[in-house]
Amino acid sequence: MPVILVSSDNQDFKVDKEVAERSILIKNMLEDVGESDSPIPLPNVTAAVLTKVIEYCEHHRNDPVQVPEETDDPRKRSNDIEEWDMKFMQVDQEMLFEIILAANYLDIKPLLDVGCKTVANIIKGKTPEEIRKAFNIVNDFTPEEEAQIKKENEWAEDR
Amino acid sequence: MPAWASLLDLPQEIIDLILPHISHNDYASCLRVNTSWRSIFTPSLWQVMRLGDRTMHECFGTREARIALVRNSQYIRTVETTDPAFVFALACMYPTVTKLESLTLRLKDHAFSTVDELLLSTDELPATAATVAPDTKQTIDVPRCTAPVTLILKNNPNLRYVSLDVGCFRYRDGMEGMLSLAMAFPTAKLEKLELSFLNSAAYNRDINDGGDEAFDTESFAQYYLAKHNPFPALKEVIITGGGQNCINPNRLNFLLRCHNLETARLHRLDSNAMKALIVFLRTGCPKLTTMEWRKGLYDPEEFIVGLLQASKLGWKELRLPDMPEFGTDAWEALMQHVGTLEVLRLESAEHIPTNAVLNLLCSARKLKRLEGIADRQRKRFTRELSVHAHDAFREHLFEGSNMDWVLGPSVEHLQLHFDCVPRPDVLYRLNGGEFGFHLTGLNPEWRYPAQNWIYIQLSRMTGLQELVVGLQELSASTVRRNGVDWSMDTAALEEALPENDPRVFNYLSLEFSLECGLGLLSGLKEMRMLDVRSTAHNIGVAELEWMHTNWPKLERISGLESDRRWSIHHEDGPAAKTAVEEWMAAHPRGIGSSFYQ
Repeated sequence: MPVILVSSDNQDFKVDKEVAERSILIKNMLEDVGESDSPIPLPNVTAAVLTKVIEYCEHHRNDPVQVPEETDDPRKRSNDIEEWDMKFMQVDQEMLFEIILAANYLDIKPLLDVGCKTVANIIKGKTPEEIRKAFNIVNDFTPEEEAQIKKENEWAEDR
Repeated sequence: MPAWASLLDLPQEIIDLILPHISHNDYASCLRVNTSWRSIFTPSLWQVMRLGDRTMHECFGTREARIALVRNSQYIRTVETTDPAFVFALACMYPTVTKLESLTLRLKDHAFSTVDELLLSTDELPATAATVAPDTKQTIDVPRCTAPVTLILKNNPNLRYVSLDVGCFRYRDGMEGMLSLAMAFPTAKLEKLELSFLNSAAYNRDINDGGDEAFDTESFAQYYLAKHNPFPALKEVIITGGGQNCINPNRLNFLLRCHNLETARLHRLDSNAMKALIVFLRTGCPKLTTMEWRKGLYDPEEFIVGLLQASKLGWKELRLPDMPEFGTDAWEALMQHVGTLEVLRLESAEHIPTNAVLNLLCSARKLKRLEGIADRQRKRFTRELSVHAHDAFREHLFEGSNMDWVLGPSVEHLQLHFDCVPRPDVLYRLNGGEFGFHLTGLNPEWRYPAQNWIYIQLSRMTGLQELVVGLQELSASTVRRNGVDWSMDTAALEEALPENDPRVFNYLSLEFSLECGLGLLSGLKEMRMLDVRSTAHNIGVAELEWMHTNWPKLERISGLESDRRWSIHHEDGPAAKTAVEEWMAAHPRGIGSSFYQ
C-alpha cells in the first residue's frame, strides 16, 4: 500500500510503504497510527530535498538493516562510499547539508552516514586556505592571531 | 537566502558524526580556517595527544603553546609520550587533567642523562614534590617517575587503557614504586593494562623479592584482596620482561585483583616471573582463556606445564613460542584443553613424539587455526608439528580405531608438516641424482593411498583459507656438518644442504598432484593461499588449471618459486618448469578464476 508524504511546501509524494519505512521516523509513525491512508506531514523537509531523499530510499529499498560496527575505526571507512551513493551526493553544498539534516530528522541512518562521510571527504587532506575555498568561508583571523594559533598547535603539526 | 548554507549551521550532534571521519592532521588545518571553525575543532584536536618522541620543549617551547596546553587540558582524553617532562606537566597542571581515557608512557626511550637536563626541560612549570630538589646531581639511565604517574592515575578514574614502561616504576630516590602505582590504577573502567619491564641496567633485582620462597597463596590472596579494590572491567594484560630477574614478583600481585581477566600476553619473562605468574593467574584470574606467550629467556618444562594449567575454563587461544624445553609433559598439559581450543600456535615440537599431533587432529572439535613458526621468525632449527603419513595411514588401516580427523569447516588456517609420504619418485633437487628411497623403509605401494587418505581428511575443512606445509627437522649436528646458517630461509637451506642427508629436507612431502588425489579438495572454495615451502611437490600446469577452476579465491602459491628445480636435470623437469612459469606469467592477478571475471 502506498503512503502519502507531504513536504513543508505542501507537495504530496506517493511512495511505497517499503520505501517510506527506510525512515525510522515514518516507520514508527505508521506503526503508531496503524492502518490509515491519511497523509504524513513532514514540516521540516522541502519538496526539493524530499525528492532527493525518496530517490535514495527507492534505490536502497532492499538493503538489509545496518548492523553498527562499533569497534571499527571510522577513519578507515570514510572512503568506502558506494559508487551510486557517491554520484547521488554530487549536489551543491546547500543541498548536501539539507539532505544531512533531513536524514537526521527522518532518522535514515545510512543516508546520514553517507552525508557525513561526504562532508568529511571534502575537508580531508586540505590546507586551511583550500578548506575556506571549498566551503566559501572568509578568513576572519588577523595575522597576529594566525601566528598565535600556529604556535599554540605546534605539537600537532606534521614534522 | 539558503536556510542552511554552512557546516557551522549543522547541529552539534551532526558535527559530532562528521568529526570521526576526519584525521588528526585535518583538525589542525580546520581550526586555522576561521574563528568559528576554531571553536568547533579545538576540542577534537586536543582530545588525542600522541607526541611520539617529541619532547616537551619541542612541543610546548613557547609561552603561547604552554598557555594553550593549560587552557585546553580539559579536552585531553588520550596521551602518548616518551618525555618525563610532559608527564610532570600533565601531573601538575591546573586545572587538573581528570578525563583521560588512554595513557601510554614510554619513558625509557627518552634520551636525557642527568637530573639537571630533566629539570631544564621542565622549565617554567610549577615545582612540586615530583620535580625534586634541583641539587640532586646524579646520572640516571631510566627516568624515575612513580610520583607524577601515580598522581595522574589517581586523578583520572575514567582510564580504560594504561600502558607503562620501566621509567614509571621507581621513585626519584630509586625506591620501588610499583606498589603505589598498583594502588593508584583506576579500578572502575580499566580494560587493558600493559606493563613493560624491558631491561635496564638500573633495574637490579630487589633484595626482598621473596621470589624463591614458598608462601601460602590463599591466605596471601585474602589478605591482599581485603586491602585492594578489584578491577571488574580488566580483560587484558600485557607484560613484557627482559633481562634476568627484572620483574620483582611483588610487582605482579595486582593480578590477584583481575578476576575478569580473559587475555594474558607475556613476553620475555624469566623463570622467576613465570613462577609468580603461575600462582597469580591461577589464583586470581578464573576467566583466563587466551594466552599469547612470546619468547622467554629460559622456560623450564615444569613452568611451561604450570602456566598451561593456569586456565580454569580451558584455553581458547594459546600461542606459544619456540621453546626448546617444551616436551611430552607440556604436550599432555596442553591436550587437557583440546576440547576448548580454537587457536593453537606452537612454534616448536621437537620433543613431541611422532604422530602425537594425531590426538589433536582427532579431538580438537573447535579448532579454527593451527599455526606454526614462519620462516623469517626462525632463530634456530626446529621441528614443527608433523604427521608421519606412512605410519598414520598404517594405523588407520590396521589398528581398527577410528583415525579420522574431527577438523571440519571451522578450520581457517592449518600449518602442519606432512612427513614420510612414500615417494619413490623423488630425486635430489640439485643434481637430479637418485634419492635413497629404499633406505627410508617406507612402502612404495602406499604412495597414492596414503596421500589419498590425507586429502580426504583435508577435504572436510571446507572453510580452509590458508594451508601451510610445515618444515622438516634439522638437528644441530646436521647443521654443523653441512655448515649452513641458522638464519637461512627454507629455499636457501635446501640449496645449501647436500645430498648425503636424505631425510634432512622436505623430499617426502605431499605432492598436490591430481594423480595422487588433489581432486578430493574441490570443496575447499575459500582457499586463498597455499604454501608448499619449496617441498618436492608435483604441481604442474594441469594442477594449476584445476586450482584456477576449483579454488576461485586462491591468490598465490608460496614456495612454488623453485618450482621443479629439484628435478631440473631430470627428463621432463626443465619442460615442466618452463610450462609452470609460463602459466604463472599468464595469470598475474592471482591463481583463482575469481580474479579474472
